[in-house]
Amino acid sequence: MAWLHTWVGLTLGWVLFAIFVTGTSAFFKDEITQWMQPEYVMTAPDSRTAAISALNKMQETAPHAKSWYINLPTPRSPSTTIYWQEGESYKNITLNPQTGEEVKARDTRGGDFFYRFHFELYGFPVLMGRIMVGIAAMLMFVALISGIIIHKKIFTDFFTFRPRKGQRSWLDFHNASSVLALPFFLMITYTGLAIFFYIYMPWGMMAKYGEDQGKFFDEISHVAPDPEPAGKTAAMLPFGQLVQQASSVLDGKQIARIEFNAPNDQNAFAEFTPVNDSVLNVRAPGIRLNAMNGQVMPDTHNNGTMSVVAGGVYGLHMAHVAQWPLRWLLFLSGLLGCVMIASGMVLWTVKRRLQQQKAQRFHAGLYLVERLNVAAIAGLPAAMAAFFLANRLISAAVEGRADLEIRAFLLVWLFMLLHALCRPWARAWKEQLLIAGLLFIAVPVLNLFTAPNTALWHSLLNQQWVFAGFDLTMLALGAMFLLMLVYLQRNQQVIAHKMTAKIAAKLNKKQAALQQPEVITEDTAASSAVPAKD
Amino acid sequence: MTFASIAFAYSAMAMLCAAMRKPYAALFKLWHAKPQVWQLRVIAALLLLLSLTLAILQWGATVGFSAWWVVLTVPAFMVVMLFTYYPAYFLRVLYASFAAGLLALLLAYF
Repeated sequence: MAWLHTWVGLTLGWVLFAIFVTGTSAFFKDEITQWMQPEYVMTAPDSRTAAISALNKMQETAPHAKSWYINLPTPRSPSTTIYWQEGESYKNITLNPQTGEEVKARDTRGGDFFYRFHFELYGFPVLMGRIMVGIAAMLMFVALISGIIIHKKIFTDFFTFRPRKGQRSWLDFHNASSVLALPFFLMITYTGLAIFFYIYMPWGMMAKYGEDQGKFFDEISHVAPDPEPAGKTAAMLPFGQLVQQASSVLDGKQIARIEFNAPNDQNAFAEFTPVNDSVLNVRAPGIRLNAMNGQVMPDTHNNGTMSVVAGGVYGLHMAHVAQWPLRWLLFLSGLLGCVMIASGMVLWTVKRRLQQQKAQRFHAGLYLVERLNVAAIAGLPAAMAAFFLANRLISAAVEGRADLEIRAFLLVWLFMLLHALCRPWARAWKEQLLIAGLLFIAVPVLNLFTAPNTALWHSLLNQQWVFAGFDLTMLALGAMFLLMLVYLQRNQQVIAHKMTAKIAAKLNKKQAALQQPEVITEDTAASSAVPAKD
Repeated sequence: MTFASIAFAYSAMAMLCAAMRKPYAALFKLWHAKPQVWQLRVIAALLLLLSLTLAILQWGATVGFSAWWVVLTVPAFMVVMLFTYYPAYFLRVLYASFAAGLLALLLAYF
């Protein structure tokens, strides 16, 4: 079982680490996007005002679209986004929620880049990326279960961490970080796998629905089909009246989303979904109003057990109900996952390095794993910091700048890999920790000059907590990498001397043990020879 | 309520840590097998229950129960790090977290 745990962890450890790092950042996906689009610094009005201004804009922009989708502002995302279908494609505009006017901001993938990276990777066809992540998640699950089985002293060593003891410290840290956050790891890995069950185990769905998989998803969300458009234009209720009616049916709850079907048609209806901050099911339904008379329409949402369970599993992974204290705890638990994976990978190399030093032979596998560890554990965060820096350095007017930001991320990561491959192992660690620390600290510093309206001092004074929180997190991460560097500088030599002394002592003992039997044999031979002579 | 739940979770985890043989001996300079250690464990269990109750009151049964596991994780890790690197502050932080939990609870209700 220990063999399974080790090799399963090592095979896809780097991919898992990348998935965990980017997935952890996705807990603050909206906040990252907000920071990366400083043009959207605005105060959100109440959801009714924002809803009316967005509906007016939709009516003006796309009166004959098949449907309208409106995401209203929340504390995590202060702008309104409207989408509509034109032919086979979708178009979208971001609005000032107060005025309903279009707001132009720099082109960026924002937090969505890391969010999608954590379940699709990048540069692969979507399906292939999801399958690769699924395999990695399955191996993670195997590693978690096998880890529980092989950890014999889960309760005795529950709070145990013995620092500055080389391999023992790495094992302690790996055990402590995995045991303490085990419920979170099991939940996040299992739900991550379960969300895409239709990709990993599609046979049940295929047996019932054949190629028409869309029907499966329709049935899981609704028990009856939506009314078809009549094809006849009709005057709808004034939007103010419609929103007022929705608000009173929802007992004044904040509206998060509006979905308008067949606008300006005789059969037009609008679905108002309130902010869901208490129900785990991500598909918690809203209310439907007839757009002609404002009457509440029958609820056709699927409230069956399977639909609720599926929505609950999705909700657990997405943490949509988490307000900021819980969101921070989830973020910190995600970071624990990152250090758990990282410590496991480093532990493998520490063990092998000792064995290699004893055998005094070059080991290509160890060389490669050590370098890949450096490029993943220090290189990936450095590349993420470079992504944020690129956001501020590339002019907002440049065409295709979103792709340039991604290129900056990939190029820095590639540079870190090449650097790790070329430099001596111990130096590569130190240099990359230094680079990562400096890059993270550079993010809020650069922000002072490139986006003064979101500079740290400005955001702290104006209580713009999203911007202040982002900058402070960058500083904290930078400080963490530099502290790791200082710790490494201070302790690496001491631990290396200890290890060398330990290896030398073991080698001496081995040699003595090899020599001793010969002495005994001679003695024995001599003593046995005496009576023979006698 | 959230802060009270986190503070009590920290206190409970710190007490469970202190009730283990090596940490207990390190913190109190002696080892009582019983009944002091069991008292610590029982108080810790009660604080864990209180933390769970507060999480459920804050977020409802389903979300509260799920969220409570995350509420436990981060304080438990902080306990390990504090005991390893700053054991001299361990008991003081434990008392402070318990007091902070009580204060947060009082503020939530009054």
